[in-house]
Formats: sequence, structure tokens, C-alpha cells
Amino acid sequence: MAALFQIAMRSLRRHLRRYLFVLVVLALGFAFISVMSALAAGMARSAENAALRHYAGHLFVIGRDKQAGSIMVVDHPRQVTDAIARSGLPVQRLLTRTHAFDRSSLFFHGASVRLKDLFGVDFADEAFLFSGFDYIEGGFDPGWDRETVVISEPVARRLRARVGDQIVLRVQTRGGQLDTRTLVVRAITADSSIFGFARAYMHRETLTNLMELAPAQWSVAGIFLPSVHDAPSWARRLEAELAGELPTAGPIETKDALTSAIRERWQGVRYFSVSLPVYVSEVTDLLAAMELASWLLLVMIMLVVLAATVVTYRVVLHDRAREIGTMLAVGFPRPWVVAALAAEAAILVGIAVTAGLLIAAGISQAASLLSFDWIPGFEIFLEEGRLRAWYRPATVLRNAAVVLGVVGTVLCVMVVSTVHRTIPALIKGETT
Amino acid sequence: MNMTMQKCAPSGGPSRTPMTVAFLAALVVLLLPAPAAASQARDLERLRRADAAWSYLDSDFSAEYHIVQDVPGRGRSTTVAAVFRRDRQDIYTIVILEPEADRGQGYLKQGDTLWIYDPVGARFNVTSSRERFQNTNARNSDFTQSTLAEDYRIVGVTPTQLGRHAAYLYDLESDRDGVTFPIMRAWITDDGRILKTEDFSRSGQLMRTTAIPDYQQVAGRLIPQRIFIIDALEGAMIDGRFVNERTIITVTRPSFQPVPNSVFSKSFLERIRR
Repeated sequence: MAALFQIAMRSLRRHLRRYLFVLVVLALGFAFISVMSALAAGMARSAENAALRHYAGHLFVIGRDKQAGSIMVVDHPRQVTDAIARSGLPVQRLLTRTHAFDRSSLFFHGASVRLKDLFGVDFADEAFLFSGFDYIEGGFDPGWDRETVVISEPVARRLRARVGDQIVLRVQTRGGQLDTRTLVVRAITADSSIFGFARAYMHRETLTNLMELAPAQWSVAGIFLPSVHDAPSWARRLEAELAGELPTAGPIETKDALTSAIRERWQGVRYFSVSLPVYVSEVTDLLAAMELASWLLLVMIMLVVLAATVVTYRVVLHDRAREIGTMLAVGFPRPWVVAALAAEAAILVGIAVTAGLLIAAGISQAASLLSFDWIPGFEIFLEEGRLRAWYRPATVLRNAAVVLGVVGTVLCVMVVSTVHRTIPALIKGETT
Repeated sequence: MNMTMQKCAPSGGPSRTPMTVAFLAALVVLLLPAPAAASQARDLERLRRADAAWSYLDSDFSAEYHIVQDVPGRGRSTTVAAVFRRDRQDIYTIVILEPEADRGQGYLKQGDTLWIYDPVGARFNVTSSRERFQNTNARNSDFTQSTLAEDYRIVGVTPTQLGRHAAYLYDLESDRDGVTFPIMRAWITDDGRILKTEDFSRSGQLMRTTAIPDYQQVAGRLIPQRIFIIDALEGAMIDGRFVNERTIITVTRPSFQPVPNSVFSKSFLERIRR
């Protein structure tokens, strides 16, 4: 085996000029495939992280009171947490938040911003999320007081507010009345994605009080699971568990189903069990479309690489026909010759894959130096305004296996086909 | 007190004078609330008269509203709207006539539901009566009947002077769901004209001030002619000074003539577009 490898290496070195084109085509092709996969995975991870930070969980239980303008409120927090415990969910963390949704506005020196999301949070409980934010001004402090408000950069820009400014929050109570509170800007987050466009965080108890909810009530329970992929099936399980105790909206599998469920009329509070993929289905759909597009692109690149490799390798085999014929004529067994040539091809593809990976890493690094936050709506796929490639070992191995498998198989077939020609034909230089 | 009673009760003679005093005192205490109750009734009646000046329960009402919105640093914009009200059924229709860009937009209120019609997409969307009307400082709820006496409880009434008008300053509070401003101060004349109101949040933050300097007499009724609304929170810093956003509404061509039923329908707003 070692002898075979040595002969293959020697032969490769001897015919390096002939193999150079195959090597370059394969390396560039694999680099392109790797970059595409890693960027797609990195964008998906950025979007998932942004969604996780925003919604704080993979799975949610939300209460909505239709009579109070569909305000989010969990009137029976104990029953909800009991149902979560009974459902057997692999809960990694459970966070509860008060959510004023779009029933709130911020005012500063006459400027105003109607918030899309105003979250009342326990900063100490959510330290792991808040320490992951990118802050333009100020920084995370788990001991932030009850007058704290953390606003996103677009909100700060529109209010022309900075850290330390006192701003007025106006909130609609559960009964539909207006209440106000002066808050102090403690930090400004850099998130200018669709999530952060009109978002603010404040102390949960302060918001709960402003919305005239009972101290024990909250709006949403966010559950962190080991993986987002299982969230939809766990949502069904939790929905079934909740339905035994409380009025629920039924299983919700899509964003459209959620929208129509919210539009229904009901009395009192109804409970919704929703998974993160449903909440961010637009992003999920976009990522699925991107993944499909990247797969199609990968197939096309693969075909191009394969065609270029086959044509070039055919020329290489043709050039080496006499050498192969001579080896057979002096007594080398055909299987041994096939094995020697196949080893050459395998080493060739292996070198190409390694080189391709190094090229891909260089391209990814270069891409991460460029800013893409000028593309509207693209921020959600960026980390700190930059594209971040994610080289998942499983994906790299899969891509390498595909290239090795497809190209290697085709080259081996060509080798076998050539070696099994007659010796006189090979010595005459006939390979086809 | 108990000792005196024990002493007085058996004999009756020498303690007659204290008993009489006690009886008279009790009588005074019993009779005292009467003037207070009468005063409260008058205050409530005045508030109801104020509601009546803004509510037209016995006939339809239509008028053209010229709404000038003054945003500091951004200039003025004018909106003209045709308003049709049928307060007895709690419905109204508003059609935007100007500016040209918004022409054909409409509002249809039927009970608790308020639709806004967008002629560009030919779509109705549900909106809230608490929302700002056409991005002015007026709210959609400002175009419907007044229900102060129903919504608020009177915390205090103080006779006062507002400019050249003698008025009563009403301190009002409300816990009712759906009442946007839980605290309100209203300056009301004895004949029920609301001269000015201040709306506050639950925490006592002034949210907006409304002044109605002029009323007009139409078909024997007083209806507002000009309404000034000053937003306490919206505005801009101009030369280091806070200048509030303000809206002036002028009510022209008021009429109490019957309005066809068809006006209070979605199809009316759709037809207007065509």
C-alpha cells in the first residue's frame, strides 16, 4: 500500500504540469462550493441568533386578551408554567417577558417613535442575551434600575437621544388608557435589522405596572430548547398540554395560521403556543430559498468542475497511454495499474480539496472585511454589519465527500476503462 | 358622650337643653349634604350640557373640517375632510378631500369598529379610535359624540375665569376601559360650552391641550367653530426652545340635514374613489 502511494506520488510529481489544470479547476471549484456553503450557514446562524436575541426563546406561550385590543397577557402564569413542566420539554432556559408590542411610543424633545416592540425584561435573568448585544453607546449592566430603557440605534437616531437622556414613554394600559413614565437611556444597541428597527427594552416590573397588569402576570414565556429544529413538534406537544387547562388557539404551524388565529374573535385570554420558525417564517422561507439556490449553484459548479476535470484527465490519460501500455507489457497486473492511477487521482483530488479549503478561508476572510449593512433589510444576516462565514465541520466533510465521491468515481471509471484496453492499442496511444 | 346620654335618658328634665342641641346638630348634619348634592347635580348637568354641544343625537350632522397641522421645523399642512355623523347610532363617515395625495381616503365607524379605507390599494383596514387622525394631533375619537358625563367622575369643580369667560374648572377622572385619557381638566361655561380641556396620562403627565375659542349657532344649536389642539409631547427644539406641534380645526358648512343611509357604508367610500 505504501509502495503504491509512493509510486502514485512520484508519478504525480513527474506529470505535475499535465495535472496542474485539473488541480486548479478542482481547487477553485471546491473553494467556491465551500465559500457558498459557509456564507449561507453563517447568514442562517446570524439570522437565527438575531431572532433568538429578539424573541428570547425557541418556543413561546403567549396570552392574548381580545377585549383589550389583543394585548399580550398571560392571566394564568401558574397554569402555563405547570403545563410546560408536564409536557416534558427539554427546557434549557425559561424566560418571561412583558410585551407592549406596538402600544407604546417614546418621546424626546418633541421627536417621537412608535415602537414595534417594547419588551419588559429581567435584565439579570437575560444577562446571557444582553451581554451578546453589540452596543453603540453604554454597555450591559445586570443591575440596571427600574427607570432603565435600552433602545436600538434606529430609535436613538430618530429621537436624537443618547445614553443618559431622559425620555418619556407612553404606554396604553390593558384598559386602553394612556400612561407615561420618564425613563433613562442606559444603552443603545447596534441592531438595525428588522428586529431592532423600532425596539426598546425596559425593566419588566415597570412595564407590567404601566400596562396595569398584575405583578405576577407577564405576556410571553420564552423557552430555550437544545435545538430550534425540534421546536415545531414541541410546540404541538405543549399546545396539547395547555389545551387541557386553558383556552388555546390550537396548533399553529405557519405564520398565516398565526395571523388568522389572531384575527378570530374570542372572549377573555386565549393562549398561543408558537415556535420560533413560525414567528420568523419570512426569514426561514428566505433562508430556505437561499439554501435551495445555493444547492442549485453547487450542482452547476459541480457539473462545470466535473466536465473540466473529465476533459483534462482524458488528455492526461491519452498522453500516458504508452506508459500504461508499457507497464502492462512488462508484467504489472492490470488491477495494480488501475490502483496506482486511482491513487494518483485520489491524491490529486485530496490536494485540490485542501487547497480549495485554504482559498475559501481567504475569500471568507476578505468578505468579512467588507460592510454589507448598506443593503436594505440585509442586516439580519450580518453580525456587527459583517458577513460571517461558518465552516461547520459536517458541511465541509459533506462537500469534500461529494467532490471526492463524484469526481473520484468518474476518474476511476476513466482509469479502469483506459487500463482495460489492449496493450498494443495503448502502446499505439489509443485510449478511446 | 355616652356618660351624658346615660345621665339624660332616665330623668328627662334638666338635660332637655343638651338633647335639643344634639337633635339640632344632627339635623344640621343631615341637612348639610343637600346643598352639596344640589351643587353636584348642577355640576353634572353642566357637564351633560357640554356633552350635548358635541353630540347630535336627534339628527344627523355633516360639515367640512379644515385641519391645519403645524409641525415645528417642517411647516404646515392642510387636510380638508367631509364629516358625516349619526351619533344616535354611534356611526360616522369621514372622506378626505384634500390634499390631493390623500383624496378618497376614508374612515367608517360603526360602533366599536373603525375602518380606514385606502383608495390606492382599495382596502379597508381596522384602526383604533385612539390613533391620530391623518397624522395630526386630532384623534379619530375626536369626531364622535362627547360622553364626558358618562366616562368621567367629577373630582372637583371650581368657578374660574378663562380669558373674558366665566367658567367652571372641572377636574375629571376615569377608570373606564377605553377612555384614552384617565385624567382631564375641562373649562366649561354655565351654558355648557367647553372652552378648554387638558388631557393627562394616568401618571398625571399632560398629553395635550384643546381650546375651543369660537362656537357657531346652527339651527338653534351651539357647535364648535374652531378647535386648537396642542400636543404636549410632540414638537421640536427650535433655537433651544421646545415648540409644540399644534393642529387647528375649523368647522365650516355645518348642517343638521338628514344624511342618506348609504353614506355610512363601505361601498360609499369605494364609490367615492371611482
